[in-house]
Amino acid sequence: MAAMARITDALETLTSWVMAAAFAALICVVALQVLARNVFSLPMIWTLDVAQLLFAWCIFLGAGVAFRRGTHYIVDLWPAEGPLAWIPVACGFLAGVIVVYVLLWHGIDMAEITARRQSQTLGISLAWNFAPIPICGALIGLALLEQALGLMHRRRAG
Amino acid sequence: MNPLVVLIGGFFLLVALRVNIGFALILASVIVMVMEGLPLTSVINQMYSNIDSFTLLAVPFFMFLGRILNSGSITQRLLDLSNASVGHIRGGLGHVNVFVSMVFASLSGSAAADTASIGSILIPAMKRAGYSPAFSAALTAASSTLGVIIPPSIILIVYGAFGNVSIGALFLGGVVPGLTIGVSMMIYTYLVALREGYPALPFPGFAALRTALWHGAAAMLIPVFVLGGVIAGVFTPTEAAISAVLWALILTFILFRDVPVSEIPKLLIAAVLDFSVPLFTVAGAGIFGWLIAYLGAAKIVVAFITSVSSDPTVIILMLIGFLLLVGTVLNPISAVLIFLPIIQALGDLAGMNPVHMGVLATITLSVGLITPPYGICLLIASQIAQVALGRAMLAVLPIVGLTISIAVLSVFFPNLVLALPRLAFPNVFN
Repeated sequence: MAAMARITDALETLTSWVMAAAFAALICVVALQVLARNVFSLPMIWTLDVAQLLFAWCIFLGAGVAFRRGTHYIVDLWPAEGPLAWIPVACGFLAGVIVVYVLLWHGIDMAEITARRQSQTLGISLAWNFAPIPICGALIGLALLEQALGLMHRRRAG
Repeated sequence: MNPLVVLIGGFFLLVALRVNIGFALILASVIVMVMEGLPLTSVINQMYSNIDSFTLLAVPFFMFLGRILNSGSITQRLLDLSNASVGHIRGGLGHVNVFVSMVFASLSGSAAADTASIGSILIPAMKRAGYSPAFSAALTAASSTLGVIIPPSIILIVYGAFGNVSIGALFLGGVVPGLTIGVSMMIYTYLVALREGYPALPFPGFAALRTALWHGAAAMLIPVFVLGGVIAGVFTPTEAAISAVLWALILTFILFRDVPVSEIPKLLIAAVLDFSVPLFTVAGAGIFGWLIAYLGAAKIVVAFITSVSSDPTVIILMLIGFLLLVGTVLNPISAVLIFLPIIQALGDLAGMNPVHMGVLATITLSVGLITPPYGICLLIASQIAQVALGRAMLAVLPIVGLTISIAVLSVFFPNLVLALPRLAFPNVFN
């Protein structure tokens, strides 16, 4: 259990740094576009594609990390305590597994379908745009596994 | 079973079972897509398509702006300015609370960030000055929702981007209703202060007011960049947002130097976590909204509503009631994205201008931020005030009533919303 936590902690730190770098690059690219268009009257088309790529990476990596931190939106209608408290836990886990399957499996499918198409301005494969979606699925999957192991560990400890 | 019932019923059932909103949107959509024999790669494609928007890029920048403002002395400067301007009126700290929220709303556009930052400073101060904790929490939460209405509003950006409505016109449309709601909150605060004997702060003098204005002036250039740039057609909302971020960075890290540069990575990570969750929900709402349109939900709702009444006012009042209900369980961004086809279809049916419809929907959905079970602003404020959510809920009800009254008033007096956009964007109305 401790080993699993160490791995996921390290992965979260690494992902957070990638997110920070991607967001910093996003700010620079859009700022460059504003300067180029408004100050130098020099429209840059490639900045739009780079911005969109970085934006997608930020959203899906961030959503993966946020899931582990438990900050996704939840509506508190069902009581968190009491004999029926296991129902939302089980539903949340099951829903998570299906979402991970869709994001991971069909995300890879989508990346493969678009792999041969290239971005006209950047000259890179469009698979890069879809790649953060399966990565998000993998991050959520790992967090679910960690949650399940934690639950089993607590049960065994009594 | 009817796929539309499975889609909407399944979504609300999953949300009731504490499945997070983004997952509930994806899962309900996946079930219907399997029923309809649609390929599941479309889920990925639609999710990506929904965030593939340059306009939507304004959302992370405004959220980052909120983080920068709160990290340094800018929020404190705005508080000092509010204090010097309205603190001497009876119920002073309450007025400062509303006033600073109006100013903060014109800078950042995020209601939850406003509640957390202003609330952590003003709620303890209000409690110390003898204000009831429930009233302090209620007023802080309610005034924070002005961030959703007064431009730059993230919800208005999302509404404009996906509803094909001019964001500049929507921004201007939010100004008068936002300020009217803010002023009505201040009048309500004054009346409560008279009844409860809440004090006024001493007037600090014109010299102090001048100093506070001077210290706050640099920060107040941000709404000038944003609104001025967008209205003059110099900037798109995204470009305005990045200009505001750059100015805030210069103020915080170079001119005021109140945050060390080494803090920047932490701010970046916090901002990504702030915007990734709502935008992941936006991606999930993409596939859900696409299915809503694919299954013809708008036509069904329009047929149902017209069977009840064909009076435009009744249609809009029913829509307001529906959005108030939806707002209690969904955050405004998800609600706008999921129900946009229905909102616009009913707006068209009632002959309502699209800009008016967007602002009205936004005001109505903002109420959900302070009503349970999804009242995130009220939840944050009641935690800061250390008061039971139920008591804060009771205290916020009169303010909820004020906001709804002004939304309804705009139905009968459209110029409350449309006067400014008509002046600045005549081409949108031709």
